[in-house]
Amino acid sequence: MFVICDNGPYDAVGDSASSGRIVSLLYQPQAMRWRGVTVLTNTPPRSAQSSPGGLQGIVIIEPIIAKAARKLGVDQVAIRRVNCPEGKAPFGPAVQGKRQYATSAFLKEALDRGAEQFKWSERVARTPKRIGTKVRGVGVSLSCYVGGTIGFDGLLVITPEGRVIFQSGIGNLGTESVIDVHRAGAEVLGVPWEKCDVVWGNTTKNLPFTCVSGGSQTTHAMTRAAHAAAMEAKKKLQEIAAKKLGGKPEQYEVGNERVFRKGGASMTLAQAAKYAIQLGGIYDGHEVPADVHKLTKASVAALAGQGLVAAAKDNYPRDGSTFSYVASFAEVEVDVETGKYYIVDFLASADVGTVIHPRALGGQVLGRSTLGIGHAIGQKWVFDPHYGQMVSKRFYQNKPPTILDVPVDMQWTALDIPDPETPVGARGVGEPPVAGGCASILNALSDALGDEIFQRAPVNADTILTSLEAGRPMQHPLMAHI
Amino acid sequence: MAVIRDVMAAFELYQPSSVADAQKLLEQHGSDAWVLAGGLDSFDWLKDRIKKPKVVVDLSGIEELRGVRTTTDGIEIGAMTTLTEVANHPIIKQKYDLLAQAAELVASPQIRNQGTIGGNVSQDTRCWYYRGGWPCYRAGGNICYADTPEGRNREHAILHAERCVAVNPSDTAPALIALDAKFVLRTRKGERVVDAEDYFIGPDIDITRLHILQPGDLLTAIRIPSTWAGAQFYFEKIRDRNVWDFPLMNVASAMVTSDDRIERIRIAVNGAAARPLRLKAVEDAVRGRPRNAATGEMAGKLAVQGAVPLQFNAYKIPLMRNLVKRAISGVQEATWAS
Ligand SMILES: Cc1cc2nc3c(=O)[nH]c(=O)nc-3n(C[C@H](O)[C@H](O)[C@H](O)COP(=O)(O)OP(=O)(O)OC[C@H]3O[C@@H](n4cnc5c(N)ncnc54)[C@H](O)[C@@H]3O)c2cc1C
Repeated sequence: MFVICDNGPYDAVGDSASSGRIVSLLYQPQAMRWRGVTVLTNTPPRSAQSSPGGLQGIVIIEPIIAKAARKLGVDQVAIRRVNCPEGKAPFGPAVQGKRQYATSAFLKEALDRGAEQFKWSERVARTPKRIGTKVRGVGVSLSCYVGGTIGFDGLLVITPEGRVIFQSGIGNLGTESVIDVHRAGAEVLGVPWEKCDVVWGNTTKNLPFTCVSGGSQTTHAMTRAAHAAAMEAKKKLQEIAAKKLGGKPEQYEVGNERVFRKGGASMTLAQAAKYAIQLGGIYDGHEVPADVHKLTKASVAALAGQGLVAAAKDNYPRDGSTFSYVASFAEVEVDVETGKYYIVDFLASADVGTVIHPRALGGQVLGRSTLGIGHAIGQKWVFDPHYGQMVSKRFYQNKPPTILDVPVDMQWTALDIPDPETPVGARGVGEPPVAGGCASILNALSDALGDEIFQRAPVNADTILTSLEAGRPMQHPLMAHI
Repeated sequence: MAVIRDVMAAFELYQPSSVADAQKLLEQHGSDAWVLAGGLDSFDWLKDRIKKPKVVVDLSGIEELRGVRTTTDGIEIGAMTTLTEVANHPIIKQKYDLLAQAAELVASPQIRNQGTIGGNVSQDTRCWYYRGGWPCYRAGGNICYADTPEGRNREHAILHAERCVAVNPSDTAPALIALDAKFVLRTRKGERVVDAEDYFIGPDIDITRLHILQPGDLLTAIRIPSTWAGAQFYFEKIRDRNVWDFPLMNVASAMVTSDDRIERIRIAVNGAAARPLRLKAVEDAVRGRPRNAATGEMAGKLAVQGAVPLQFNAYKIPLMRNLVKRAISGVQEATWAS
């Protein structure tokens, strides 16, 4: 892979490096050479978009694989199944003879599930492919991107009223993870979700040290942190119960809003919280674990005395880097007289570990697929190469996709197989579907039109018509957007 | 060329309630005045501070400019009638559906609710150099930035370019030409009625305007004669997105056949030149011929004679050829099992 990064005038853009890493993970090449060159250009400044590098890398490789499969007479799903990562798949360059590897990958399963739900074989076998001026094509793409970080803090308070208050430092992007990740904590404590509150918004609300809302890391990082804080709270509840009711902490269990000894003494969480305040010290936040971040320490200090206060750093082990994966499927219908095409169907099959909130996950998987679809069907930024000036300044000019550009009933599914290296099993999602949205459309288009029509995205009526007229690709692959 | 977005320069706003008052105001302020209809073209200019009129005359309070009326010979549509009203009007749908189809395909529902038919036919070009404030011919300068070896001209003209290569972006204009509509103007000299196709002008006549209106003039109504009521209509618009997008090109035809021979026809395309083009040569060539694929093919080839592509818009030649063909001989619908 030889990546030339048109960097614009200012800060270095890191996309080229991540494109190599992602491609080496997603296709598991036995040998791979990657080179990247960054060129400063007198063009408008730029910064990263969703799935930076991963999007470009996958969208470069996918059409090549599609073409190879066609030439070899191998099914598109089958060729990807052979090449896709599995388990603790290696990626990136060998450093001192050792390569990095992923925590897990169940992409083969996602591919199988997707192919079945999309009725891939039936669609491939369907004839005719052309009726009148309309041609249909189907495409599949693999996709992945980073899916989680570690080491952040969780913080919760059990109040003397028996409610559990999760302090959430997550920036709310509208994806609901600001709330959802704390279900992992509620589950550890056996407290019904209705008895939980989530405090969020800004740092005046005494929130813990939290990952930024980027890099698709939140669900992974913050379910771990919420889990850690809940485990810390559980330990404290057991200790308080042992102190008050006798016995050893480990003889106590936590559940049904109580801390209890099997067949013996028990107390409610509300009572335990009152005792925590009486006990003070580490129980009500007057003392803090040494390893939590200084921001968390300040928040704990502010909350001290309000109940059982539990703060903890995510110290759970992880062996490998966390990625999430998607297999994306699309069918298109192209009118060869006008170059206009419609996306008839779309399905994304996701391997994102344990599903935390199905609807929010579906929103992410399809929303980010749509972002990728946008790159295939029209989204662009156009500058005049002579003057280096932007000309596509308004939305009607740079053309983000609209809701009418995607099928009405876009489908998604998720495997719900836990990642073995995080206690809740959940990995992040967000960026992983983007490239699949784009490349599945491009692959469906080349299935319909052949390999000689386009070599770049977006593909529009102009791309298709000029090349069909000429019988060869007419838009240069490295040409800037037009 | 720096542009401050979304902060308009100050202007005097007048909101007359009659055409007479509006005209008086426009006469008074001459070329300092800007006519405001739905604002979807106007406000881009004003917010980008590229056009800075001293006076804005808002037509939205003039009741007499609104609504669709039946006349002795067809209908009259007030210039301030919204595109949504045009697209949904029962008589238009029943008799002049070509226009309803065209209006329905404009932009997005929000824009159609606000945009007017008068504004739609009077709107300026969307050439992104010109709209971006580049000092081009159309803006009074002495260069066309789109017509350079590296200029981004995918959406520009293939026909009748003359220094400027911008195109007219209206969807309703070609439908109105095909329906042989008449545009009713109020000028200093009184009322003037022009054929739809004569409302629009290219850069050879005036490089700064897409239509014949002079400062002080108003478009008050559009009349559609019953000549083409209930004819066979074809409208097709090709755009990048399925909504909220200007046409790359569109075609409109009205046809009357007998025994599947083309007896009468009017056909127009937009997005090919600075004005919507009525294709008279095509009309003449197909009249009397059977309405079939061969006639369509012939018409398509004839339509693009003389077309000259720029660097990035050569696709418009096959596009126009095929759209004209389809406007005459139709297109086969494809239905797949499952
Ligand atoms: C994002 C976007 C997408 C669009 N997509 C499409 C599309 O796909 N197809 C399409 O056809 N259009 C499209 N349009 C144009 C839109 O539909 C409007 O029709 C158009 O912008 C003007 O209508 P308006 O009523 O808003 O008029 P205004 O913006 O107020 O006026 C437009 C121009 O006409 C003049 N004018 C208006 N009415 C009169 C009158 N009665 N007498 C004299 N002069 C008058 C004004 O002075 C001004 O110069 C789009 C616009 C936008 C912003």
